[in-house]
Amino acid sequence: MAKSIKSHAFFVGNLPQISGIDSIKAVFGEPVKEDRKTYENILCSLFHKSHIDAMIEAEGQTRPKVLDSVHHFRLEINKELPFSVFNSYNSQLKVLDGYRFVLKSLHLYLFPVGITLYALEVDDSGSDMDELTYAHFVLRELPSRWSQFPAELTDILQPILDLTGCDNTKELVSLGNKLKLFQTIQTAPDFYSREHLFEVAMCSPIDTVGTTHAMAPSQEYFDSIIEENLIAPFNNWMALAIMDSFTVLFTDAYDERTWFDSYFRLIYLRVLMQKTFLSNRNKQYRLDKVDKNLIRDLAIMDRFYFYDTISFNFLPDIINKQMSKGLGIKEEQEELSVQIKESEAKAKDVMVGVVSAFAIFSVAYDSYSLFHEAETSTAPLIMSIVAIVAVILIVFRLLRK
Amino acid sequence: MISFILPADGMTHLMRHFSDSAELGSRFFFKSPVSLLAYAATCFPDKFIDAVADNDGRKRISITFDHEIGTCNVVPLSSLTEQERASLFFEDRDGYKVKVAFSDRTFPTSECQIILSQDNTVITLFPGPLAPPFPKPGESSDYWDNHVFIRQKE
Repeated sequence: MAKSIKSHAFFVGNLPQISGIDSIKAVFGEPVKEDRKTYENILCSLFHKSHIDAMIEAEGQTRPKVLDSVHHFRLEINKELPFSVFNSYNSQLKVLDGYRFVLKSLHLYLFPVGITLYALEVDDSGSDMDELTYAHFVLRELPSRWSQFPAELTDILQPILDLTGCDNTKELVSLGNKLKLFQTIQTAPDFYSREHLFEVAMCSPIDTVGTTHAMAPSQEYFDSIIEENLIAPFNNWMALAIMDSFTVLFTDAYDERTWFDSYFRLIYLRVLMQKTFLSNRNKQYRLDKVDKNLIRDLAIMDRFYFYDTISFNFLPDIINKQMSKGLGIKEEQEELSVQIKESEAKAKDVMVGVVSAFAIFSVAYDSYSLFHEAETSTAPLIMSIVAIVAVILIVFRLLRK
Repeated sequence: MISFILPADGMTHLMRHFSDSAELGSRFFFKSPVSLLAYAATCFPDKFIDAVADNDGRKRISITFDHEIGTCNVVPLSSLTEQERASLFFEDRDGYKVKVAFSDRTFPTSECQIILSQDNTVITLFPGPLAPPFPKPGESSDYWDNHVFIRQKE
C-alpha cells in the first residue's frame, strides 16, 4: 500500500463566544507575531498589505483599529501519539498501526466581529495512505467522536474545549458537523492521479474510485467535482478545493512555509473566516434572530475581508477563488443579501412610518390650535387624542414588523 | 489497521484486570482494555497481524514489553516468603478454590497475554505469563496447585 512521503494536515474548527483574552494567554502564552523581515520581504512581496494585516499580527506594524482584535496563539505539542478509535456503538476498536500521528501544535485565531477559529496541526508523514484517509475522516469528526479517542489525545485538546466554558464537545464546531481539513501530501509519483486526489480529499478508502465499493463516487459526480474544483496549474502538484477540505497532492518535496504560512494562514483561514461569518448570520436569520449589529459587521467584513484580489501574483488569487467556490461563499453571500435587503426595507418602512406619524400629529396639533383659538368645546381635544393614539399605533406596528 | 471487538457483555470480565477493579488478581497500569489494546497493537502490530488460531479457535498472543505494564498477582508458591506462606488461605474464583496469600510486596511484570477469537473478539487479557484455565470440578492442575494469588496487605 502507498505511503505518504511527507504529509501535513490542519483540522480547523470555529468556536462560539469564548472567554477573554487573559484566559487564552494563560493557556497559550503571548500571541504569535510575524517578524518584520518576513513580513516586509516575503509576505508583502506576495500579498497586499491590507490583506496581510487583516489576517496576522506583525512586529512594528500599525493597522486600522478594528484589526486590533486579530491575534494568533500557538501551543506547541510535538508529540507522537498512538492512534485508535473505539466505537462503543458497535464495540469496535480500530488501531491504526500504519498511521504515524504527530500532533504538532494547537492554534487559535481571533478575528473581528467575534470570530474565533482553531486548528490542530498534525504531521503524519510516512503513513499508509489508506489509514491516513481513515484517520483524517475520524479526526474531522473529533467533536462528535471525542470519547472514542484515547485520553492521551483528548487531554491535550481539553484547553480548547475549556475556552468555550462548556463541557459539550459539540461546541467545538459551532457551525456544521465536522472540522474543515487543509492537507498537503507528497507521495511516490505512481500514486499521483486525480482519482487518488479525489479519495484523499473525500477521506475515503484508497483505490475505490471506479469500483463498486460503497464509498465509490458515481462517474458523473467524480467528473463534476474534478471539473469544478480542481486546481492544476503545474505538473508537480494538483489540488482539490471542496466544502470539507482543501487537499494538495505533490509528486516532489513542497515548501512548507509557502503552503502553511501563506496559503493556509493567509488564504484558507480567510475563506473559512468568511464562511463562518456568513453561515452564522444566515443561520441567525433562519432562526429569526437577526443580529442587531449585522450592518455594522458587514461593513467591517466588506472593507477588510470580502474582496477578491489579495495578491500581486496569479496563483494565490486562483487558490483563493477556488477555495471560495469550494466552500460556497457566493451562495452564502446571496442568501445574506436577501437578509440585508429585508433589513433595509424594514428601516425604510420605519422611516416612512415615523414621517407619517409626525404628519398626522402635526395635523392634529394644528386642528387643536385652530379650535383652541376659536374657543370651541371638547371636540378638538378628542380629535387630538385620536390622532395621538393613531400615531402610537402606527409606530408600534412598524416596530413590531 | 487492526480491529478488535470488545463485546459489551464481556466488559465486566475484561475490566477485572484494570486499576479500578476491587477483584483479586493481576492489574494493568492502563485505564481500560481499549487503552491497553491500542498500545499493544501500536507497539507490536505484527503479533496481531500474524497471530494464528489454535485448535480451539483462539489466538493466544503473548507480548513482552521493554518496561513494566502491570503487576502480576499470580506467583509461584515457591517464591513466597515464610511469612507470606503462613498467610495462605483459599478463596473462590470462578467456582474454583484458589490459593491466596497476603503480601506487602508487588510483583511488577512487563509481560501480558491477550486471547482473541478468530474474528478478533477479545476473550480475555491479563498481565503476566500465560496461565492455564482453572481446572473443572474434580480435576486438578499442576499449575494452579503450585501458584498462588497475592492479595495486598491493607
